[in-house]
Amino acid sequence: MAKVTVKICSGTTCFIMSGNRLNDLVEMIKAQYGDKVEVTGCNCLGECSNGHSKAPYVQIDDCIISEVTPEKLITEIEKRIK
Amino acid sequence: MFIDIACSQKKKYNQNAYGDYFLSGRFPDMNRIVAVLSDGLGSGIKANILACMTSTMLKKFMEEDADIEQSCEIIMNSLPVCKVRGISYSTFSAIDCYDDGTAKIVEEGNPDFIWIRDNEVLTPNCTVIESKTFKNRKMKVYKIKLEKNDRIIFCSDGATQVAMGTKEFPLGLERSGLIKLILNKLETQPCISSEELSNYLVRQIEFIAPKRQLKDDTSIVSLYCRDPREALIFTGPPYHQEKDKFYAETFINFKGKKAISGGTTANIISRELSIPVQSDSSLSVGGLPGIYKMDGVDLVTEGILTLTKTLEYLEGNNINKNNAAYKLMRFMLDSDCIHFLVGAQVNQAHYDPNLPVEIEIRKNIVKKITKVLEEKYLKKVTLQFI
Repeated sequence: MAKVTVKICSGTTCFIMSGNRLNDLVEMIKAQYGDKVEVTGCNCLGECSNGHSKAPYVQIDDCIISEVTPEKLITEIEKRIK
Repeated sequence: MFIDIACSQKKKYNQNAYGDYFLSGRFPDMNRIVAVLSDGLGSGIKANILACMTSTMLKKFMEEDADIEQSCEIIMNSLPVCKVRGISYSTFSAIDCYDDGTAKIVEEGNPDFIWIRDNEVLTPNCTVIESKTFKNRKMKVYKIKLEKNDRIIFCSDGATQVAMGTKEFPLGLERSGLIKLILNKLETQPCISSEELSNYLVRQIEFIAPKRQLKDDTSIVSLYCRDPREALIFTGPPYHQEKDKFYAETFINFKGKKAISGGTTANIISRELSIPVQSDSSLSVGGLPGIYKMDGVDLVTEGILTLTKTLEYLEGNNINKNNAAYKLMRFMLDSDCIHFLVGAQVNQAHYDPNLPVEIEIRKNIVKKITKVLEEKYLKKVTLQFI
């Protein structure tokens, strides 16, 4: 099965909107999913400037997820792993 | 030619206030720098007031090109009279210097300045001016021409008299001892910055002092004439999108250090020049987004939050040495001439009232950074809004 790639936007808007919640997730995801998921921070995904912002944004594989919470992110990762 | 100037100071042991006072100002429009080091009579608050008044007045007089003799009389008449000694007194060294090397130095009471060229100490001629109203007050006025790689060191007598009365230094370190320290350091680090050299000398002087307790306030001012270290910081997307390529190329072709402060800005340069932006896995370090990497660029950070924090650090507050703002501050402080390319396009999302913190407008924050860099750190800064 292909590895799931998770890119967490660390642009200004996403960083403010997520606080440090998503940052804490990085270690948790690495511990829980090991090699199945690759999680990194990334430069601004540019989504916040497209009209009404729904930051924070995360890119999972080729899909952009808006208004991400730790729960939402875990659910999305689980969907792809199963 | 760029004049790199820095001052390092230590208080007399057990004192709460510095009895030496250093002031300097850079005037980029005139390519000129004025600096004054004053040593107040006694120590602690009293000395601090005398030295502070002397430096402030003298700097102002020198900036206005006032007659130095008259200026000093005014200063001496203005200083409060010491209750113990019945005199008003402070010593000083002052320099008024232009980028072409023309310099005027005035000294009263402080140890003679040290002028080093090619590891040799030069002894310039001076004019001695005696005070008409105050006995035994003599000022030395030097008019010299500095060349590239020359160094000038000013100090207060705390530096030359350190450890006086000890077996090793019966008369203190003396000017000759200080010269030895400087020449030895220059032999190993010929291009050492003024900041590092002055810090090093003050540390050594403290080390020489018995029990490491300084018996007098100690100050070292270092000037170094050299080629300027240039840096360019690109922050914010250009207002006219069609000019993105032009500015991206201007940026990458800059000869000097380069930094980008802004995620979108980095994306634009990446797109126009086909250089990928890479980020490490640390999303957040020290309360700020982490740093990114781009080939050919020395530093890439997030924009507004990092700039806001950098300003806070430049002002000397709550420094966290791990995060991107500290790296950006070091990037600025390790340069002499800093150019900002400030994109005027605004990201509307940053002004969403739902955002939990206040976000500064980029133009304003860069203007504030410029002011601190010029006034506190004596950097040459240029701003270009694009």
